[in-house]
Amino acid sequence: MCALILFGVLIARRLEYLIGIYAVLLTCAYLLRIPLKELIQRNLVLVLVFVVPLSLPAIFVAIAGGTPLDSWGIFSVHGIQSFLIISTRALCAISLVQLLIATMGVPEILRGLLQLRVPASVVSLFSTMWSYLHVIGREAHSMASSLRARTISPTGIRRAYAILGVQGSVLLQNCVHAAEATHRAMLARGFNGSYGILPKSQPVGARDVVAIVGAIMLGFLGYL
Amino acid sequence: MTDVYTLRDVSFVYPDGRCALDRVTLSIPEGTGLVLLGANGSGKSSLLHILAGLYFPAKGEVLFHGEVLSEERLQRDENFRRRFRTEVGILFQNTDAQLFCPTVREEIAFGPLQIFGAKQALQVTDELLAMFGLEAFADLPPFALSGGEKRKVAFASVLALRPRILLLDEPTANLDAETCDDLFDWLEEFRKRDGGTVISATHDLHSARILGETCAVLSRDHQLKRCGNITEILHDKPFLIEMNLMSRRLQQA
Repeated sequence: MCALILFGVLIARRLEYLIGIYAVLLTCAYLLRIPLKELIQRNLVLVLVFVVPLSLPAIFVAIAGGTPLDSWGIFSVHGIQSFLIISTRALCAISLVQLLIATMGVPEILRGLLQLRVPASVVSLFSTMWSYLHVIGREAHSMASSLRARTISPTGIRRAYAILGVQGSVLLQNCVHAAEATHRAMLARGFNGSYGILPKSQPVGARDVVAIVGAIMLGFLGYL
Repeated sequence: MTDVYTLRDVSFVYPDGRCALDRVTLSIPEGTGLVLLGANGSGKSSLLHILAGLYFPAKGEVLFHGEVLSEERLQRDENFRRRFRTEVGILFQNTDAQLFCPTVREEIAFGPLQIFGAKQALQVTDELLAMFGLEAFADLPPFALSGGEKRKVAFASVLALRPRILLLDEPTANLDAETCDDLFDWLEEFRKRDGGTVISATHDLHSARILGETCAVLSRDHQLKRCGNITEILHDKPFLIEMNLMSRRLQQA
């Protein structure tokens, strides 16, 4: 369903329709008890950092052409419309991805990526990274606890940076050792370079049919 | 009984130049319960890794069912690699390194998916989840489990390939009494039902008595000092003290 809404987002040509989709997504987030304030903040940060700098030049007549908005002929009506549509479209796509990540388990997302024909090696990489984030986190936590237990309190900024640097390098070494051990464990269990995944049969129910039909209609309404 | 492994003058050196094994010669018959005893750093884990085809000797040779076990052979001979990896399973000392899949179910299925395919992997996984009482944890990430549960998952994932030879590195380390008993029961069943070979590395003399009937002792200078009946060796207290396997203070107490 997410893929279909994304399809709707991509083909929508009218700003008001995209704003409508964003409102639907925020309603979904509210119903799923995701904190709206943080979701909107994160969406806006990503749009402002990555999308606006690239699409902002389109508002100028010199770049986008078309009818000027003002008497000096600086801003283009068509350019401003394009800028708003691109930014809102990105806002919808980003919030959709965040909604997906916030409401689904990582294994399900990885399974979905495999079914979307993302190369198995890439999925394997994501999976291993995700597993090891926790191992690294635990390692870092135990190192910090050990440091506290020995009551080392840095007496200056240079000393603090030195300790931080040593900890970082030791953590890196530990991670390399852990990765080597994991690779050996994979080899011992017949690893041949491909990351297999268990099939999971999920019968399509009435709820899914309604969701798919609704999403298709939503998508085409935006195109019209 | 034929030998599953034959080691001839095997020496192993780490990349940094430290010696881990020095001219070890050993034969392991099929169906044996062999316990590798030795103090910390004597080379037990390295020997297990060599038997699992994960490390390769600097000198000497290892024969598996009479065939040479080498890195080149494992890389080039696909049939041999499949047969070897299916027949030999290793349980690592550090379970965190062994568990790398997003869920317990996928962890157990990892091996069968590589060797057998999806349908059989699904069947084997369900059987093992039930056997180890892990159904409730099937969709949880392995790192979220307790130490004993992780050990169970690791053991189940090793058994998933239906190995005939089990290599266990400190199998009872950090386990509570009940989980230890479960592990001994599974091993006993594995040996009785499947006629499997179990090679365990430990320095715990109490669990050694249960893990096997034969014992090989590695010294601190990485040589094989003695190999024979475990009861005889465990009764030779001066030898155990010399090998740093028994505390002199505890012995006096």
